[in-house]
Amino acid sequence: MTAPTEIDHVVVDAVQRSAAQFAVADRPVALVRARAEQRQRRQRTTSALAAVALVVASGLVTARIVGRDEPTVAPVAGFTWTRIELPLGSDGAAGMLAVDGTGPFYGVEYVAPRSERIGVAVSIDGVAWQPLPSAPPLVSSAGASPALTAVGDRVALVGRLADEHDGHPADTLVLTTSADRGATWRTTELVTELTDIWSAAAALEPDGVVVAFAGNAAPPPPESTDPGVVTPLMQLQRVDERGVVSPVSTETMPEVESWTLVMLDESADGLVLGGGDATLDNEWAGNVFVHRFIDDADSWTELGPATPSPLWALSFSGDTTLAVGVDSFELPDGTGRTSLHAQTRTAWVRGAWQSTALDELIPERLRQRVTYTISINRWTVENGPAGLAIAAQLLERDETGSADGGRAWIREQGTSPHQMLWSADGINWTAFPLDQLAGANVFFARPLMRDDGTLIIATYVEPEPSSRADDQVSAPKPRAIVLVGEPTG
Amino acid sequence: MDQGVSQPVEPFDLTPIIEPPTFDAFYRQHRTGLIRAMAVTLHDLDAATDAVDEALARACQHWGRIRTLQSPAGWVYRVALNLGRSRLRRLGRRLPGWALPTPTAPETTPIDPAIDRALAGLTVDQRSVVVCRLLLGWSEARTAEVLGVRPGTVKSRLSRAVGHLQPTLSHLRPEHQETEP
Repeated sequence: MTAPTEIDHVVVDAVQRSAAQFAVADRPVALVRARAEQRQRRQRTTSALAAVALVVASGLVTARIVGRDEPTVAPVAGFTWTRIELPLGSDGAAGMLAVDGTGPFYGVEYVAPRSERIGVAVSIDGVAWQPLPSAPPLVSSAGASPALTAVGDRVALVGRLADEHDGHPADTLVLTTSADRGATWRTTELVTELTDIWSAAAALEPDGVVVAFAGNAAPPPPESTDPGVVTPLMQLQRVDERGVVSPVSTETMPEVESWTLVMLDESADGLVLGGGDATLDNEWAGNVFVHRFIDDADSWTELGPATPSPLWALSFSGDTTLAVGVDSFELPDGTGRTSLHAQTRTAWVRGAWQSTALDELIPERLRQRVTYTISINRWTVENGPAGLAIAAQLLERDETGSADGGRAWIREQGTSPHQMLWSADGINWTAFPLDQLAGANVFFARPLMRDDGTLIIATYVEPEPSSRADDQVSAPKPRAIVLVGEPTG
Repeated sequence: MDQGVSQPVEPFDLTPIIEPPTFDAFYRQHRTGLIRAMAVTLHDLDAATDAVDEALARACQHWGRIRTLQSPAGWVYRVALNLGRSRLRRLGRRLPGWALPTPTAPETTPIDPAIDRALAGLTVDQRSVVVCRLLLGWSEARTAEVLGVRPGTVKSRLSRAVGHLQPTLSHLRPEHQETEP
C-alpha cells in the first residue's frame, strides 16, 4: 500500500495547503440538529411526495398527491369551489401522469420512497392503478424526472436503465415505448456523445417518437485551463415504430448555466422547447429561451432576461403567452425592516415581458421582522385561454449568523401556506387564500387552468407539526385533495 | 483504521481510530476538515459548506445507523459529494474558479496561485480521489468504497491526477527554490 506521503510530498503538501486556505466558520451543532429534526418532520409527510401530477381529461380530474388532515375550503370571490378527495394508496402513486384525453392514464411511480428507481402504472379512471411489471426498470436520471408522454394506447418514456446489480443509473439512456397500454414494451438505446444528460423531453408522433435531450458536450481537452467550461447541446432524435433511430439535429444551446428542457407545445407546427436560467459570475440572470424546430424557424429565441432570479417553472400556450415562475430574495439590510419581499413573477405576453411585484402577498407580520427572509419555492405555473395560474410555496427562513462571520447561515424555519395566484393578463394578479385550509400547512399546490376557465388546484397538506415525540407512529393516513373552482357570473 | 496511512496527516486526517460515541463529538471533530476537503473537491467553498452541512444533518437524523459504519466520515463525504455535484449540475456546468475563502484565515500563509491552477486542472472525479487519498489519508480500498468505484479506478485516477500536478508544481520543489535568485 502506498502511503500518501510516499507519493510525492510536494503534491501532498500542495493539496493540504490548498485545503488550509479555506476558513470555515463555526456553527453550533444545535443548528444541524434543528435541521435534521425539520427533515424528520417533513419526511414523515413528504417521503411519498416525490412529485405531484394533475391531469384533467374526459371529464376526470386526476391527481396523485398525498396529504392528510381535514381541510375546509373557503370560498373565493369569482369562483365557486368544490372539494374532491381522492383515494390514496401506495399502489401506483404516480409521480408523473400522462394522458391525451382519449386513452388511459399512464403514471410513473417511484418504487420506494426516496428511490430513484421508477415503475410504470396504468389507470383507466385515474383512481385505480395497475402496475406494469413488464416495463423495463428505469431510474429518473434524465433530468429531474423521466420524460413521459402518451397518446391513446401509446406511451413513451425516456430514462436511464437501472443497473441490474445495485439499481443505480446505468449509462444507457433509453426510450421505451408501448403501443398496447403497457402490455409489451420496446426499448431503444439512445446513443449520444453528450457526457451528461440533465433534461429530456419526448413527443409521440403518428409514426414514431421524437426525443429531445440536453446535456454537456464532450469535455474540453486536458490542456484547457478551465476544464469546467463545456458547450451545452440539445440533441433531437426520431425513433420510428421499428425502433430505428434517426438523428434529427444537434444544436448548441444558449450559454446558460442551468437548463430545464420542457416540451412545451406539440402542435402541428412543430415542437417547442423551452428552458433556461443562468448564473453568471454567481449572479442570477434568469434568461428564458424557447426553440421552435422542425419547421422553418430553427433557432433559439431568447425571451429573457426575465428577472434576476432563477427559473422554477415554465408554461407555454400557443404563440403568445409564456409564464415563468421566478424566485428571488435579498438578505436583510439591517435597517430594522426586512427588505426580502422582492419576489416578482413575469409573464411573456404578446411579445413583451410584464413583471409584477407581489410584495403585498407577504404577510405583514413577516415583512416587519428584521431577521427573516422569505422566498418563494416550488413554483408551478399553468396557463390557458382564461389566464395564468401560479402556485407558490412561501418559505420563511430564519437567518442567524454574525455580520463579520462570513457567509450567513440560512436555515428553513418553517413554511407558511401556499399562495395561489391567478391572472388573466399576466399583469394583474389575484391571490387565493389557500391558507384558509384550516389546520393544515399546504405543502404543495398545483394549478391547472381548463379551457372553460375552471381553475383546478391539487393540494397537499399536512397538520401543524406536533410536539409529540411519538407522532411519527400515530400520524394519520394521508389524503389527496383537489379543489375545483368554477367561475361565477 | 486505514492500513495505508502510516502517519496521521493533521489536521485533515478524518479517519477515526474509535468512532465517536455521539453525533456532537463527531460533528466537532470532523466538520471543519470535511468542509475543507469538500471545498478542494468541488472547487467551491460555499457549495462545500452547504453540502457538508446538509450531509451532517442527514447523518444526525440517522446517527444510530451511521455511527455503526466503518467510516461515518466517509459516508458524510460521499453524501456531501453527491449533493455538491447535484448542485453544481443544477446551477451550471461551468464549475467556478476557486471560490477563494472569505475571509482568509489570518494565520494562513497566502497560497501559491499555481497550486490553485493546478488543482483546477483536475476533474471533480480526480480531485475527489486526490482529496481522499492525499488529504484525508484514506487507503485505496476505503477511498474506493467511499466513492463507489473500484480500487483500480482509484489508482488510475490518482495516477493521472498526480501526473498532472507534478509538472505544474515542480517549481515548489526544494531544488528549484534553491536555484532561484
